[in-house]
Amino acid sequence: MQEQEAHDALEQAQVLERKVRRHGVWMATYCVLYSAVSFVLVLTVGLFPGTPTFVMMAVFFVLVAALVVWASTRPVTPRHFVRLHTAMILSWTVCYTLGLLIGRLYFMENPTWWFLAAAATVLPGLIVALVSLRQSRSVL
Amino acid sequence: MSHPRNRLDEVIHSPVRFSIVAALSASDQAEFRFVRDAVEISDSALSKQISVLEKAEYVKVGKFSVGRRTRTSLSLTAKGREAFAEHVRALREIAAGAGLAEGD
Repeated sequence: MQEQEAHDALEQAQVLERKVRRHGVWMATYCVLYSAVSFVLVLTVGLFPGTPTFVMMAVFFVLVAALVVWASTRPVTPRHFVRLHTAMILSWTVCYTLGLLIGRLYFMENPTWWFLAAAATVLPGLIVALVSLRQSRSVL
Repeated sequence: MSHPRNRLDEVIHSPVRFSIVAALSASDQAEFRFVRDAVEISDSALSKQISVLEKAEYVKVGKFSVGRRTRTSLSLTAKGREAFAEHVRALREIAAGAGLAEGD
């Protein structure tokens, strides 16, 4: 194999990699939408405590299920998806649980707390979205 | 020192298979029809190359249902990723002119 052939092959590989990585950008959208749903959920729990829990959770699960179905129709699963998604969900679970637990025990009437708690649950998704976007731009 | 061309992977070396593996290396998993369109080959040509790659244990083929349709997903195995990385390293050395002194 000659130098030029090798160079052309590498260039071809880079073009293909870029094309495929671009199709993995949906993960960032998924993370941002999940974060948005989480933000609204936490605010609703904190600012409207009279809202029946089963209604809030039903809406939450329907929205998340819709996201999951949409994600499953994407033709490309980005690199390290399982690891990133797992990290996002675990971190979100910790933020959500602590936010609600502490909020319900000590800050039930405090809107500031609920905004902060809602913002905290958004962080894992936003971080993973940024990582995913960065990954979609890196090449061979 | 061995010329880098001796480290080119025989399975991946074919231009079409190289393109397929390059495309799959950028994802955890991609649908068959997506790879077909990205590499710009027909269904049958892709199936043939995937069989070769699967036999070499470089690619894993999965089937899943979306509604009534069955979709095929493709992913590189760890062995496939390693082979591709090594192949790319050898290509880079060749492209950089390595081994020219040995009369290439």
